[in-house]
Amino acid sequence: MSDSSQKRDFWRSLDELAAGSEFSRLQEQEFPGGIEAPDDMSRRRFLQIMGASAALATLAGCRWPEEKIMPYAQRPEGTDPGTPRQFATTFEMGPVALPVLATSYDGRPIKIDGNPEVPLSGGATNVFAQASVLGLYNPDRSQNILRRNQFGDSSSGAKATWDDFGTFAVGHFPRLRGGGLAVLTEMTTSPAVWDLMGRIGQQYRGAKLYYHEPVCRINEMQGARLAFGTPARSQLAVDKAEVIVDFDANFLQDHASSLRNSRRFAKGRRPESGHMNRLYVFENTFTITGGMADHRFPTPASHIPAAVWALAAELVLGEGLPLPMGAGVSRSDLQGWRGHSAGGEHIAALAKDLMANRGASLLVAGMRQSPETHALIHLLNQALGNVGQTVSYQPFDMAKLGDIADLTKDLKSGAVDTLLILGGNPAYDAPADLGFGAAMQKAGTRIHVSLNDDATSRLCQWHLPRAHYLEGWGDAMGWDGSYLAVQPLIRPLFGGKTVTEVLSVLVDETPRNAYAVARDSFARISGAGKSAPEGNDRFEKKWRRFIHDGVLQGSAKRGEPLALTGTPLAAPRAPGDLSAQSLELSIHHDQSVFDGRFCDNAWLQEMPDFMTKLTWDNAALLSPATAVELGVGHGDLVDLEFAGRKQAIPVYVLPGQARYSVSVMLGYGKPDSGRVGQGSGFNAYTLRTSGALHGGAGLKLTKTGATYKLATTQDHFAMDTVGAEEIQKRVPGLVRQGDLEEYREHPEFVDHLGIHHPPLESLWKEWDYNGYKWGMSVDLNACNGCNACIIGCQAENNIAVVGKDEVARGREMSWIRLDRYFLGDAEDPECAQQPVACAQCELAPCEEVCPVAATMHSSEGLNTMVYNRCVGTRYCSNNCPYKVRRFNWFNNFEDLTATQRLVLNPDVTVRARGVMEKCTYCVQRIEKARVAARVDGNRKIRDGDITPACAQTCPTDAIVFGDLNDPESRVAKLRKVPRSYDLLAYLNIKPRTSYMARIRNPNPQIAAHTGHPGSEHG
Amino acid sequence: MTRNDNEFQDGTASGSGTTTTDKFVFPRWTNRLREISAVAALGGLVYAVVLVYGVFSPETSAMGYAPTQPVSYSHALHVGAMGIDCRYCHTSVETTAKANIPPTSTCMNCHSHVRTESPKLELVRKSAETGEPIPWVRVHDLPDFVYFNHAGHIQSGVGCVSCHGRIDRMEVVAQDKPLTMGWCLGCHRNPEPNLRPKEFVTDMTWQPPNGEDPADLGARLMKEHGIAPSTDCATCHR
Repeated sequence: MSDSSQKRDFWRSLDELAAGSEFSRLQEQEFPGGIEAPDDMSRRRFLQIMGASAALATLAGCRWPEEKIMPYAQRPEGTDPGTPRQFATTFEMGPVALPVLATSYDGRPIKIDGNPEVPLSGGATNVFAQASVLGLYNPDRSQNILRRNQFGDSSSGAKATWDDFGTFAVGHFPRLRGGGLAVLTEMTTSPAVWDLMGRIGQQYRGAKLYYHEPVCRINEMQGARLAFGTPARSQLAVDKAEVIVDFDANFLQDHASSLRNSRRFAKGRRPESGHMNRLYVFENTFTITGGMADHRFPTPASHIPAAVWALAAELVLGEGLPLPMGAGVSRSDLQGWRGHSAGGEHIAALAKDLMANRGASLLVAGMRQSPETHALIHLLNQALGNVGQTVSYQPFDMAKLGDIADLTKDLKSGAVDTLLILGGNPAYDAPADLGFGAAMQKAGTRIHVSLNDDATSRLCQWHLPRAHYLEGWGDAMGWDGSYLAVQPLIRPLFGGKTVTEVLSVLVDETPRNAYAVARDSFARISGAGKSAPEGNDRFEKKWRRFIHDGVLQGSAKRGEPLALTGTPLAAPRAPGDLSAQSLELSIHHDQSVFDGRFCDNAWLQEMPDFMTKLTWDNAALLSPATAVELGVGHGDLVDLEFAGRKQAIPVYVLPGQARYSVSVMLGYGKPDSGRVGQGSGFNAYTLRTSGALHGGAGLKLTKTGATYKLATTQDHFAMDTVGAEEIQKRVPGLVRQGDLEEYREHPEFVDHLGIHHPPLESLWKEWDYNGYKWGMSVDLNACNGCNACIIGCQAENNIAVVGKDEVARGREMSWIRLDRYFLGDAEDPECAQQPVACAQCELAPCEEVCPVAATMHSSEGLNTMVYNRCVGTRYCSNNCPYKVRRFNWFNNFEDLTATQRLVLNPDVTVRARGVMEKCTYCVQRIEKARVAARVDGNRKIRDGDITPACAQTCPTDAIVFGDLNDPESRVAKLRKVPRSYDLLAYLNIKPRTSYMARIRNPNPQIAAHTGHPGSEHG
Repeated sequence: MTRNDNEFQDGTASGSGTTTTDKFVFPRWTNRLREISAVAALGGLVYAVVLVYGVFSPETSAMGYAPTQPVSYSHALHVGAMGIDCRYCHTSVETTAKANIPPTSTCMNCHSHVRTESPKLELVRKSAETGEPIPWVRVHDLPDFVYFNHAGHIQSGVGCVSCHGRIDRMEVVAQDKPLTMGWCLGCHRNPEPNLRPKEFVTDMTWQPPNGEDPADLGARLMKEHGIAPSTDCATCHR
């Protein structure tokens, strides 16, 4: 596969590369799978139900049902029923707090967006924050306080009330003041929580505090402690860096300030601005950062520390970089590492590039890497003069906490009388070797505060339902030190309480509610004085400003340079050789369900992974060559054996995976999940041990002989249907790409990549667009494939979730399809992402074939879809060259509970069975802006008044929307950039969405060496 | 037998292995074809009449629909006799999509002093006391896939009366206009007669001054304010 003739070719999957049967099958059918009913419903049963509903419809009579209007008795000031409002709050995931704006429609939160006023977000959000609103309405969330007498009681327990718990607490906790209390918390940045925890330490003698977070950033903190003597948050000024080296960090997605990083990275990568950075990535499995890399080196995770040392050795010994003051390594320490195989053959070229960009380079290590590796990275950044330029630090005090291994030990020794667990689900996600669940029994009293009645709650006498973050007051601390507000948008749906309220029962004489706790915390942090009097105008003003803005103005701190302390750094053990018999296990968190907390989130479950395009499941990722050597293929169920533990899991063959490295994602196979997550994926926690949290060498993989159906979307809705060979020729015209040098010499190179065609003439008389002319531009150089637009669109436009079976049939509903193309060698490919949604063609082929005029052109150029006219012939989709139309095979919203329906956006029609749908450019927002402009003094709609949901959430501003008739609009200007091109322009469909070619900036030394594919274009 | 028949027979014999009869004979039931056709035609006619009546009757479009409300609030009294402006209660009509039914507290602004004992206001007082909303019955009910925006229309100078009729004369609010798509489009295609200066939108009896033809005035206003009602599908359906 690595011969040079194939090197230039783009391909979407290995099956396509080999022109395999699955790809051909999917290509032949527009809607794969025909019109079968789901498996669990026979055709006969289906017809019976159909008959019954038709009969009912007749009986229901002729007039639609009477509707009631229930106005407020006392309308709160400033509310207009039917008009959505936004409130600033903060979404917290472990130690990462993300400032967001939550949209409330008549009192129910329906959408989460980034808070544009806070630099950490800048208006962008990630998929987790956006999908969190669906979690609020999860009907499987715990709805009761439960008491269980038996350990591991799998029944639903006995219902109790908060008063019962209060009575219990009054009797129980005072006797713990002599000792025996242990509190296990998930990681949080909330100063209010830490204040209460601190008071537990003061009031309860011998009380011990522990934390557990399965996706843990402690190594970063310990690395900083090792280098600087204090934990510190790294502040990355990615936009100032010319050369960036990422060691397993995935800094565009996994870093605590990933949204800011993404925006800054894109800013530093706009060839027109003259600033074009270069990114090197060392990683074992493809991440979005790896996808953006100019040079990606597939390296087993266990070899990455050695690679860092090899780079350090090359810089210091090869390039003569002086070691800084207080360096924890000496030249002799590095001696043995120069030219180490883990660094790869291009390490010298990389070192030269870094030397040439001293003070404008940036090295980052990932959270899975050891503290020593982090410390060495800090040292190198210092040596290269990057500190104060591209990276600075914010030292902070970290509470001294035990980890879950310490807690297990203490439990086993019988030192814990009462165990209070705040959030988390350690019975599911603690390292498997600890036996944490069993050890819990040693505590006489166990209390769990949790969103779900989960595996951990079943081991406790008390399960206390926790309020969702959109239901309770709180506070948080951003990565840049900014003090953030958490405010509720709705009263707890199921009677939950916040963690602060439960802690207050333990430490306050009269328990305070979450509002009081948050106000007190604000008073303390902001120095605004004591909070108690409600009427204190000065305090009230400051507090209101705080919750209005979502952030305490001026609280974000600037990073500072820190001095190295010279603590000697231990060199890593030389990595062992990997082979088919001794593979590497690499454990990652998942980009859909994270650590398992989003297992019941249907939006995230159905969101295709940006690289594997896998939905509803996880898999063991293997490189093609490794799979061939092991004799396994896509979908084979294999047994993974690691450190005496065994787990069955299906294989997914991923190009670009490091050789002999097997990646598995956490968070699936959750036995205690609700109806959404039930049966999805395989539990990788069973392979995770406290000594090897992120895996290691020594994995055995054996075939079980069974196979497993994986639902991927990778080959669905392929844009060209004329055979794989022809596709190979055409794909470079779809996703256009070139090198920086080439672009500078021939700015119009993109025009030569498409299909050459004679001047195009239309069969129809073309329309003149004299008013607004809506258009969109997508910058492929900025898009990193983070999926945020997909979830943003889903939330805004009421897009249905169809389930794994239907996805496997090619019936997913997402309006945006993120096409992922590989380029070049299957073992070490490049990767390109291209979001494709309806391009609103001016000469739209879909419109010509609709027999009922259900898809019509608007006078502003929108290709509108009139759902109530559509009869479902699906001709339009057949005729759509982009394959972006989606068909409702079933009444996808029919089975939703009343609670689940609350998340729907009332401004967008909920589509029924038999109706076609597609991207509308968020026409509801266009119409809203039109009326707003008329109300606002009858003015024209300005550039920026309308932002579609996808563009709003994009962390890199890759998507820009506006009026093409306005020469001053951003989108009109972007159209004039030479690398702007239309997709499938030769069909003369005149799409309104245009793309901007991807420009890469390879190191000439490495490119010359490998015959970099891009350099041959032009 | 003619030569042609032979060829025909040969052709089918080789294909299906069966023989065919010489001539086509109408089956027996066709003797009654005339009667059957007559019944079908009559049935079709009846069906067509029922269909046309069903589709176009005012009842189907709910014109005249005037459900009994939980409180017998009289617009004729409050608007017609006392001259309260529409916007005193429907506060958001100029700025948001929905005109909104007023909260109970709006009623109580006056009725905490006026007719405080009236049995008709029992429910209003109870609502004000308990905070329970008054369950008004919706009169103007568009299908759920239609998105109407009050602000857009009011800001363009479409009078309330154009769509709601003489509310100031209604004891019980009734739907006055068909509110069908054809009716909406009628005005979107030819808005002039329904336009007026913005300051008069709530005036139920307004006529152009100096006896000017409303259509002429409307045409002038359209030009002045850039009013160009859209007939694009997405204006209402999305």
